[in-house]
Amino acid sequence: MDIGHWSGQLSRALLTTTMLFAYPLNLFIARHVCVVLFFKGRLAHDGADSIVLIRRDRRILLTLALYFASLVPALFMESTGKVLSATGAVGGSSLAYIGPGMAYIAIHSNEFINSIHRRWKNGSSNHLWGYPNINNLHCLESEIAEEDEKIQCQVWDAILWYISGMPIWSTIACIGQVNLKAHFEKDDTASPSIAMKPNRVTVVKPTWNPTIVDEQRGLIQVESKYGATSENITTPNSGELLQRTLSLSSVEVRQELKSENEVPTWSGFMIAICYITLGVVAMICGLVSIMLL
Amino acid sequence: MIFELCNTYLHLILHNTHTKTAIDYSLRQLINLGKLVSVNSYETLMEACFGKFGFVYLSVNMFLLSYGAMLAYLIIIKDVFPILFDVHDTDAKCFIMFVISLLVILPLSMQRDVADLEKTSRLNLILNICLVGLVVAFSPTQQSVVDSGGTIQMIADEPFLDKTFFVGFGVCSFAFVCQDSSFIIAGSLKKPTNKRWKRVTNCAIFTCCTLELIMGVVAYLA
Repeated sequence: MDIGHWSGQLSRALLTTTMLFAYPLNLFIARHVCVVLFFKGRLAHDGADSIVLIRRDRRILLTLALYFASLVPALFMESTGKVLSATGAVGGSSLAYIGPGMAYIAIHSNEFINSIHRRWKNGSSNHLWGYPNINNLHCLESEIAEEDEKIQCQVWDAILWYISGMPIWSTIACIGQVNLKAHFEKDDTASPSIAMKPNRVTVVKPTWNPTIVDEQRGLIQVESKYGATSENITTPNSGELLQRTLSLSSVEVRQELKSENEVPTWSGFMIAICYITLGVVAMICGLVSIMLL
Repeated sequence: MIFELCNTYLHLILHNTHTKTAIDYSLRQLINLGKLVSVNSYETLMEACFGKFGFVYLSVNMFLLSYGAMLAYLIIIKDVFPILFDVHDTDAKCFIMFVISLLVILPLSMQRDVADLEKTSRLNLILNICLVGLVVAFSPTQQSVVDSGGTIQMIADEPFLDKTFFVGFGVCSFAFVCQDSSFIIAGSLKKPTNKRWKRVTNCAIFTCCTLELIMGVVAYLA
């Protein structure tokens, strides 16, 4: 494309316009993160930015701070590629690969730990560092007999345990199990009705929480379109989306969730492990490549 | 930028394939997992699984990604926009970038709700498609291929893998990561079943990958 040709000029104009319109979307995400990290209260924690930032002074100050925080370095920096690849390598890998993989193992931690015990049932925890402690687990299958623990660790099993990185994955599963238990206990205290749902499984919940409590505005209950009242508050558009997200408990979704509450298999766990590995490798190699360029 | 860094044919194919499959799958998994633990956002999903650490880890990465994008967009504006007025002086470029961002970006960013940017986002999509069309129509692809001795020769001359592979991977990840918005988008569906969400992710990723591939191939050949 010729630099002086009208098509080149038009392309530049289009590119600039898309950048001008894309910037605010990213600023909104950065602002959202600042709200959830630095503001107090349930609304801020749940990411209801539009309600938290209803105060104009907060919104203007936060926006200006983020704008200048990006403007000043941009005035001095030249290489867009390095910025994009560095943030993509760290942030992108974490969000797209490491996060979903870890969340999958954590949420299906019971099944994962059961699978570990089934596969390494002859292994002694003395030889397998990170082997989930059977005494601390509440949801293990009865078939895991105590006598299995006493059997000597087979060399192959021990090698496989370490080569497959099981100490890491089982640690993730154990941490996830503990945190999920705490999360559900906290959730049950806030919404006891959910605990009484007949189709609730051991660790996971089949339905979404339909209510949100507004601490800052005096316990105003906002519910969704699936049964919904909204009192004393003008819910903005993104707020509506948030509420709808909270209330994905329509009959169709519930039935689907019920039918999909199947026990995950090794293939699912392998995919999750591959995701985490890919994310970590991409992050490290990406950063190293940028430094070498 | 993607085609500048993914400078071999293998990069283009690999990055596009991984993006199509990996991002699509992780988007669907996230919504499934979110439903199972009754949470309404990615960061609260991580908080449910890994406590405060998970929440902060994900939030910081979200900030990093969006901050990097803000920075990169401003640098692109600084590099590209002044050329329209035939300005090449560095200080003048910085001044023009400051003025245009002050006049356009700041007022848009001051909006309270992301839904207020619906019209500009729609316009952005149309402009992006126009941009791809323009590049395809006016890039000197044919001439470059002839000068290089044909497409096969051009591909054969390229290295199989080089040190920019993982840099390109990072840029592709940056371009396609939208996991942080997945819960909002899934929640905007009237019936957010897995089947419908799968259709949304398939269509969205397919469109983005197609546009990226067209732009990448044309720019690579040119």
